[in-house]
Amino acid sequence: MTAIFRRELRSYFSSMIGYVFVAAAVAVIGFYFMIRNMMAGYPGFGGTVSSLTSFLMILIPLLTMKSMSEERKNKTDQLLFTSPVSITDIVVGKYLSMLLVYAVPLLISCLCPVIIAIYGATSQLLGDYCTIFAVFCFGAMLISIGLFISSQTENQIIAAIVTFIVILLLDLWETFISILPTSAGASFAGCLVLWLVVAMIYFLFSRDISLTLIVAAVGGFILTAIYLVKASLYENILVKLMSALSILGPVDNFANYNVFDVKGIVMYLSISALFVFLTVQGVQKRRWS
Amino acid sequence: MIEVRNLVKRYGETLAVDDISFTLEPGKIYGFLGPNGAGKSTTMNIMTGYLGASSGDVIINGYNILDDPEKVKQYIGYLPELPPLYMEMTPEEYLQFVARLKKIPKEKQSEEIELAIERTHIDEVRNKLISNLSKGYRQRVGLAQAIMGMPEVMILDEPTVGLDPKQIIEIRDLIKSLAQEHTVILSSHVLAEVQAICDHILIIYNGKLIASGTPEELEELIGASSMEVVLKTNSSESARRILEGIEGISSVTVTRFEDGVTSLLLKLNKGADVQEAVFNACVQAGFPILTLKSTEMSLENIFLELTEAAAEDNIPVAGYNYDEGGSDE
Repeated sequence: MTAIFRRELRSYFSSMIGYVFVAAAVAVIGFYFMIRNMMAGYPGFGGTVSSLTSFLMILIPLLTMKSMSEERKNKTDQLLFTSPVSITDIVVGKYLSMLLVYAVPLLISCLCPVIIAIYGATSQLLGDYCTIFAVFCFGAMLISIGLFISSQTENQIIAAIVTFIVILLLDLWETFISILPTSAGASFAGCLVLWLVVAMIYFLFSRDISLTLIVAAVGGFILTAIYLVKASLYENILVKLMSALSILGPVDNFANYNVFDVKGIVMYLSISALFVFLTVQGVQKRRWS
Repeated sequence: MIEVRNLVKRYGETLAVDDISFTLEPGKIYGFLGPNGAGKSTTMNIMTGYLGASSGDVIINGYNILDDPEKVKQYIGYLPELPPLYMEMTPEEYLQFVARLKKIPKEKQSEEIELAIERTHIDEVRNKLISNLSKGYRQRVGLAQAIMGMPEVMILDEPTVGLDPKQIIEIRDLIKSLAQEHTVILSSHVLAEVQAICDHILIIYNGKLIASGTPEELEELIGASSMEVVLKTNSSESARRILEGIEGISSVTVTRFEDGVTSLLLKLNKGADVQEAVFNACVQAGFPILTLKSTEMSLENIFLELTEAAAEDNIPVAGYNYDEGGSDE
């Protein structure tokens, strides 16, 4: 694993990508630091560093796009997968190297709360560092998603664009929720559509049309039965469901409410683990098909 | 010792590898021979654990690649069809990475790297970026990667592709020297190459193993040898009749006749030694001999004959793309 980790890290900093990533992230943080903390005089750094999250949709694809796809395209994966290292080691090695590159600008930003503390008495060092940590976990999750997308294609550009779109959609999640219907009937229809999407995803992985139809029909039947028995259960259910998956919420809690959102951190870390796992599985699957 | 049992690889509907079994002994050079798309690379990819087989087993030194992949991979050095190189590295950095990847003990790493660099003659480019190297050097860096740590089994997919004749000879010598203590498996669609360096040849065609044996055994398999005679005479017919009368010659065909020079191809019975008889007969008849040589049944002929036979057995010729020695018609 360390061999992969070191090689990846080297490759980020022997090409421009690593430097561009770090420079851009530091520039964004620095810009907001100057505007908010230096010029406007806000003592909190949390809000400043969390502004980075809206730029990650551009920065993360830059970092993750080549992680797996380039190996596949250049056939260097033949070296990795015929070496005495497990696929998990390879994927985790790559993931850790990206985490480290991502951590560099955040580590640099750790200086900012200290600078604020020097100038003012009302600094919130603990809250600030917790927020930096939350932003790190948030990015770690996005990197795992980008890693997975990169493993599904051998074209870096496609990997970058798809990762960008996915992060964009995740960022727009809150906006989506605000336009969702809340009445029982509409929520019921929404649930049916959601279930249909689940069935279709199931079909994409299993390629078994009859089983998919059964799954879809059973789910649809149960949803309809619940609606007929107790329609009030459906009120507001879509909003509740979707809010549970709101990924920006926890960072927001850290930055603006000074809340250490354990649930949010757990969510970030478990989604990260899930996508690293899916990447390993995806690579395994391709060997056998 | 390598054992491959009933290997099958299916890509959707197509069978890339169709029930191949063989056993390879240590210390020999094995050659996979077959036209492009015959399943050589797929077989190698399965043996090295890059691809999973649809069914069948690969067992190296008693370990199954399915059950102990990491154990098996320690015994193998693999040079794929396209050398797996990182363009942004120098050969030396690349080999350092490979040494770590192959879990060579730290204290032995630099020694092994030097050895690999020396044996593949890439010393003069060790600090250049791989992206700036010529194809021949890239191939050799790939080879250095495969022999790194001197694994027991070296699997080389078309190792001499893209090299110039001098380099080809160097690489062949290297492979021969490796075989003294290692098993080398190489693939090629160049018959001369396989003939020149392999102890044992496996001919793969359309995913099937259609013949296996030493070069001599394969020649035996096809049988008779032949002889080429060029005479300075205008009467090709009478020359043909005289030669046909010699014992041990089964048939005579005139292959070329122009400007008073006649070329004849004699097919000989098995084991027949007719050179003297042919010479005497020609002298007696007053035909000056320009050329008299026995044309050994080349592997090329064997290969063509075997693959044609396989094709006639109604094996579909999908993906058949034999690009060596194609006729100009």
